[in-house]
Amino acid sequence: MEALRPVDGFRQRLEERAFAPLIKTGRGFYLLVAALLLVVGWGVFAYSTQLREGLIVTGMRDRISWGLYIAMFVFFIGISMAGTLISAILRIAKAEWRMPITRMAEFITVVALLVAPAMISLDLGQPLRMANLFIFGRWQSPLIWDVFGLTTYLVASAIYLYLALIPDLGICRDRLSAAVHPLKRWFFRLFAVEWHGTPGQHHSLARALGVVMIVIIPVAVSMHTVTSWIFAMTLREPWDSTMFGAYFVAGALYSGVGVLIILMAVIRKAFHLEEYVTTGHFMKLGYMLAAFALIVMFFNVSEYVTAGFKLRGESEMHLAQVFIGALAPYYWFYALAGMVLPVLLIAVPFTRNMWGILLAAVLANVGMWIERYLIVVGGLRVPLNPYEPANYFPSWVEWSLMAAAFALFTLLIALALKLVPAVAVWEMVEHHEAKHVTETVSESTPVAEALDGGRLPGAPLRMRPAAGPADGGQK
Amino acid sequence: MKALVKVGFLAVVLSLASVAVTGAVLADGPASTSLELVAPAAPAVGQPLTLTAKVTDQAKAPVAGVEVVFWQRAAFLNSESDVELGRATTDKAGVATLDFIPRTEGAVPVSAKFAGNAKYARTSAGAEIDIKPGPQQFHQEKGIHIPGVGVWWLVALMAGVWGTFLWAVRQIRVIFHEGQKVASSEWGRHHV
Amino acid sequence: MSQAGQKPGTPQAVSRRRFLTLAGIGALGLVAAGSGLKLLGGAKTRAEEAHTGAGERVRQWTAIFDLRSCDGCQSQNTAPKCAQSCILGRFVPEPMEWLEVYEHNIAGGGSQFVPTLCMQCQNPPCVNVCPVGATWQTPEGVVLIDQTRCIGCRFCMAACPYERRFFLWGDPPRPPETALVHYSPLHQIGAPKGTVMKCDFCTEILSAGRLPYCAEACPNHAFYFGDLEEDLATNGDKVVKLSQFVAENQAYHLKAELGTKPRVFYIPGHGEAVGRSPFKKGRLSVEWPWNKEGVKTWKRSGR
Repeated sequence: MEALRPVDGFRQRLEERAFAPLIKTGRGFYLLVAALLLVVGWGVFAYSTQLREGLIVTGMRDRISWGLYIAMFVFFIGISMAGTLISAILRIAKAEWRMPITRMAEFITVVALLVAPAMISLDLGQPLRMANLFIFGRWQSPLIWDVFGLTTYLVASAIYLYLALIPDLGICRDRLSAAVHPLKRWFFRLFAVEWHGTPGQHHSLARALGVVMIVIIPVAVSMHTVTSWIFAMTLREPWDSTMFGAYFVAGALYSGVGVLIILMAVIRKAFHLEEYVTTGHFMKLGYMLAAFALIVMFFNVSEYVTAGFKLRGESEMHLAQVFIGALAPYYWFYALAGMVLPVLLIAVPFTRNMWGILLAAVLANVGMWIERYLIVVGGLRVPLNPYEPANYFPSWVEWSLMAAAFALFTLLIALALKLVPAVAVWEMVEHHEAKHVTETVSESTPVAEALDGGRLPGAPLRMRPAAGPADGGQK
Repeated sequence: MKALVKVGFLAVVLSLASVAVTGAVLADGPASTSLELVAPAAPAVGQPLTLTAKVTDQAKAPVAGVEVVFWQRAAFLNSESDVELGRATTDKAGVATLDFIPRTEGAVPVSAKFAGNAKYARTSAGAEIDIKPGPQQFHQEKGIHIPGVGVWWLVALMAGVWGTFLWAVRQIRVIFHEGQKVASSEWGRHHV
Repeated sequence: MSQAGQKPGTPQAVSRRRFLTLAGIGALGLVAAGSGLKLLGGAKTRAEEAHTGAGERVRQWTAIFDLRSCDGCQSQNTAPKCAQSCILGRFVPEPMEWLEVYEHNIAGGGSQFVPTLCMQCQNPPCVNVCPVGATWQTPEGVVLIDQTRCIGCRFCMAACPYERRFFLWGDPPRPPETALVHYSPLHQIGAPKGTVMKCDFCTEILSAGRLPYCAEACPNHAFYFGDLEEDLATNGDKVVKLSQFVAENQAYHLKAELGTKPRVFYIPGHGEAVGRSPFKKGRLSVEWPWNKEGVKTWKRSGR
C-alpha cells in the first residue's frame, strides 16, 4: 500500500475507519448475513406457498381485501424520504453537518425503494402478469402514477447515490486495490469511471449533483403524494380526504428520520465512527424528529376533529372503531407511544441524549408502521353495506413475508456497506480541508499537471498550501 | 177468426219489437262512438311526433271533453304489452292530440282508446306507424372537459424529469472521458 | 498500463454505449406509444366483441328494482330466489354473491330488502382506477372484466363503494358442467384464481332477448330490466315506459351522492305489495350446492 502523506491525521483516521469494513469482515458480519438469509429464505418458502395456493393463504378476504402487504409497501415508501431530506434538502440549505450521514440516508432510500415494489408484487393475485402494468398500463390509474413515481424516485435516488459515490470509489480504487478481493477491485475500477479528481471532473460532478438534488425534491414529494392517492382516489369514508397527500409526506419525513437515526446508531457503533457521527447529529435529527412528530400530530387532529364534529356518513363507525373499538389499542399506542412520547423524550433535557433519541426513533417507526396498518385495514373495515364489520388477522405467510422484507432491507444495506464506505469520505475530507486552508492556489489543470508529484495519486486534486518539495513521483 | 189471429200475432210481434227497441235504447245507454286515429307522414326516432284522435258519436258529432289514452304495443325482451304513451282530452272539435318522441324504430303498432262513460260507449282505433331510424337518443353523462387538461401533462412532466436523469448520466460519461484523458496522458501513465 | 480486456474508453465502446442508450430511449418510447395505441385498439376490439345493438343505435341496459314487491322471499320460505338463481345460472364461485339481498334498516324500526348488484355506473370508480384496463365499460353501458388481463391488485375492489366486486382468493369448487366452457368476459366461467369477478348483467342473455336469471326467478316480478335508449323496461310480465315508470314511482339510486351515476334504479318499498310487514325481519341464506367434501373454500369476511 502506498505510503500516506500525513496531513493533520483527520483524513488518515477517516479513511482508516471508513475503509476498514471494506477490507476486513468479522465473524459477526457473517453471522448476521446468515441469519438474514435464513429469514429471507423462509420468506421465499412462504411465498411459494402463496403462489401455489393463491392469496387464500393470507388473512385477506373480500371485505378486507388489502392487508399487511400494502401496509408494508406504504411503510417502505414512507421511510424512503430520509435520503431526499438529508441529502437534497439539507444540501440546498447548506447544512454541513449532514455530510457524515448522507450516504446512510441515501442507502435507506434506495434499498427501501427496492423492497417496496417487492411488497406490492407479493400482493398481486396474478404476479406473473405484472408486465401488464407496462404493456396495458392506463395513464389514468393512480396505481400507474405510483409505478411511475416509484420508478422515477428510485432512479433519481440511485443516480444521486452513485454520483456522490464516484469520488469515494476513486479513492477505494487507488488505495485499496491491493487489500481487497479481485472482484471488489474490479468493482471499484469499473464504477469509479476513471475518477481522478481533476477540476473538470469535479465540475461535472457538482453540476450533476446540483441538478439532481433539485429535481429529486419534487419527485420525492410527488412520490409520496401519489402513493397516498391510491387511497384518496377511492370513495371509502376514511380514505376520501383531500389532505392525504400532505399527510403522507409528513408521515414519510417522520418515519424517514426515525429510520435514519436507528441506522446511524447501528453503523456508528459497528464501524467505530464516533468521531464523525457525533452526539450532535443525534441531537439535530432528534429535533427534526420532534418537529415532524408535531406536524403528523397536527394532521391527525385536523382529520379527526373535523370528521368527528360532523359525524357524517360512515365517519361515526370509523371514529368509533379507531378510538374506542376494535382498533383502539393500536391507535392509542401509535398516538401516545408513537407520536407524543417521542416529542416528550426529545423535549425533556433529561432524555435528550443519544439513547433517548434512539428510543424516540424506534417508537416513532413502530408507531408509523401501526399507522400504515390502520390506514389500510381500518379504511377497509368500515362496512359499505349493512353487515357486521369483518376482522382481519394476518396469516403466517404474511408475517413471514413481512419479516423477510425487513431482513432483506437490512441485508441489502449490510452488503452494500461491504462494497462502499458508509460515510462520504471525499466530501468530508474536502470540507475539513476547506475549513483549514490558509492559502489557496489556482486549481487549473495545467498548473496541477505541472506540479507533478505535489499531490497523492488518485487524491482529489486540491492544492494544499503547505505542499512540501516535489517528491519526484510516487510509485 | 183468422183476421183476429193475424192482428193478435201482429200485436204481439209489434209489442215485442217495441220492447226490443225500447230495450235496445235502454240497455245500450251510451251512444255509440267511433275514433279516428291519425299519425303523421314521416316519423323518425328522436323527431317529435303528433298523434291525433277524433272521437265522434254515431251522428258524426264531435265528442268533447273526454279522455283518450294513447298506447304503443311494445315488445321487449320477449315480453309484449301495451305501453301507455300519454293521455289527452278531446277539445270542442272532439280532437285529442298527443305529442311524443318515438324511441322505437320500425313498424310500431299504436292505438288510441276511449274508455267510455255513462253517455258514450267505449271505442278505440289502432294504426301502424313506420318509424324511421334515427340517431342515438341516450347519451351517458360524461364528465367535465377542461380544454387543455389531459394526460399529456403527465407525459410531459415525466419526459422532463427523465430528461434530467439522462443528462446526469451523461455527466457521468463526461467524467469518465475526462478521467480517461488524464489517465492516458503523460502524468497518468506514470501514476495510474 | 495493461488491463485485461478491452479498454472502456475506446471509440468502439463509446459508440456501443451510445447505441445502447439510444436503443434504451427508443424502447421506452415504443413501450409508451405502444401502450397508448394498445389501449385504443384493445378497448375497441373488446367493445366490438360485446356489441349487441343493431344499426346505429346501441342499447343502454339498465335495471329497476321495485322494492314494493320484494320481501326477501320470506313468503316463499326460501333463500332469495334472485340471488340463488344467479348463483346457479352463472355458476358463481362460492362464497361470492354477485347479487346480494341486503336487509336495510328503515325509519320507524322496520327493514327493507334491497337486492344489490353491480350498479353498472356511468362514472364507474372501478374502471377509473384499474391500472391495466382489465375492467371496462361496453358501449351498452355494462361494466365487464377481462380476467385474462387482470393482475389481481384489487384496487377496483377498494374503489367500489357498493362492494360488488369479489376476488378469487383460491380455486373454488366448480360444478362439472363448467369444465368445458370456453372462457369469456361475458360469463366469467373459468376465470383463474387471483382475479376479480362481479355481476355482468347477464349481458349475453339480454342481447339474446331474454331476461337475466334474477329477473326470471323473482316470483313477484320485482325486477325490471330496461333499455334507456328505447325507453322500455320489462319484468317478464309487462312492458313499461322506462322514464315514466321511474318518474311516477320516485325511483332513486343507491349512494347517489357519491357521483358514480349508477344505472340501477330502486323504487322505494318494503314488500308491501306482497303483504310483508316492515317489522318482519330476517331472510334465509343462499347456498352453492356443488361443493364437494374437503375442497377448500373461503368466507367473505374472515377465514
